[in-house]
Amino acid sequence: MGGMSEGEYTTEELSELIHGLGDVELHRLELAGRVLALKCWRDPAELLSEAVMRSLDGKRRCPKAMKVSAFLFGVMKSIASEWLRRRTRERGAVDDTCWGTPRDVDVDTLPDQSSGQLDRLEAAEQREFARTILKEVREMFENDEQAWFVIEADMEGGMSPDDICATLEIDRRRYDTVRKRVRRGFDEIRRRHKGDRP
Amino acid sequence: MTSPAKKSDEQLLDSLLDAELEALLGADDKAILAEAAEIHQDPTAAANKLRGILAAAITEAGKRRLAEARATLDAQNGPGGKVLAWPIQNKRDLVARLRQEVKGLTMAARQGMDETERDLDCVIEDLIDIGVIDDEGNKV
Repeated sequence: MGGMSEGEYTTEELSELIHGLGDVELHRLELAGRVLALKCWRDPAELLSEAVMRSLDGKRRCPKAMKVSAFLFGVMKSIASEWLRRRTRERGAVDDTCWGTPRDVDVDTLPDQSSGQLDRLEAAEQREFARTILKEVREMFENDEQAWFVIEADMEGGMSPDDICATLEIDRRRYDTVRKRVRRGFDEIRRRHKGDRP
Repeated sequence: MTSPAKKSDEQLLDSLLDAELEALLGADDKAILAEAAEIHQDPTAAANKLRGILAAAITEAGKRRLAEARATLDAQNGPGGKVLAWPIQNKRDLVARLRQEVKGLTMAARQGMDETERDLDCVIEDLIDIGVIDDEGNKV
C-alpha cells in the first residue's frame, strides 16, 4: 500500500464524500453501473456496492483533483474486468469441455499446463464473450443510422461529441437522445443474458 | 469512417463502454435526471434506494477494515499475542500464580528482583509452547 499524499483523500474523507453524494451523482453512478454491467453480466447495484467497498479499503486513493464519481467509475470498470476474468476462468473449471476435449488434443503439439496456457485460454474466452456482445449490439443498432454511427465512432475513437454532431448534422440534445437509446439497448442485451455466464 | 478492424473485439467493446462512461461523466445534471426519470417511475425513491446501498457498502467497508486491522495486529503479535498484550502487572500475577499452581514446573526467576516485561514475555511464550496455557492465558 502506498503512503498517503496531501493530494489524495483519506479513507474517512472519501467515505464522507460518498455518503454525501446527491441524487444526480447517484443516478450518474447507477447509469455507469448499467453500462459496465454489460461487460460482466452482473447486477449494476452489486457492481456499485463493491466499488464503494473497495474504494474504502485503503488500498486505492482518490486524488482530490478528481471527481468522486469519476473515481468510482474507474473502480467499477476495474471490478467488471476482474469479474469477467474470474468468470471465464470458472467457466473453464466447471465446463470441462469448453476448453477442449481429449479428442481435440494434437499429441504433436500437446499444450503445456503452465499459467501461460491458462491465460491464453482465458483470453480466448474473453474474446469470444466480446464477440458475442458486439454481434448483438450490431444486430440491434445497424439499422439505426445515428446510433450506429455513434457506436462506430466510439469503437474507433478519436471523434469528439462535437465532431459527431457536426457529421450527423444533429444538435447536442439530439446527440444525448441517441446516446440514451444506445444505453437502453445495452440494458436490453444484458437483460437477455440474465443468469447466463459470460 | 474507416473500419475499426485494427482493434480486437475486446478492445472495441472496451472503447465502446469507455465512450459511454465519458459521455455520462460529461452529461449535465438535467440530462442525468431526465434519463433517471425514464428508467425509474420515481427517481427520488430510486436515489434513496441507491443511497441505502452505498450506506450499507460504507458500513461493510468499515467492518472489513476493522477485521483487517485485527488480523494484522494478531499477526504482528504472533502466537500468544493476546496474553502478551496484557498489562505488565497482569503478566506478573499470571506467572506468579502458575509458579504456585503447576506442580513440577520450574521457571527461572530473578531472586528478589522484579522481572522485566521481556523476561515475563519469554516465560509466557515458553508456557504457551509447552502447552501449560493457551494464548489467552488460560490454563490448558
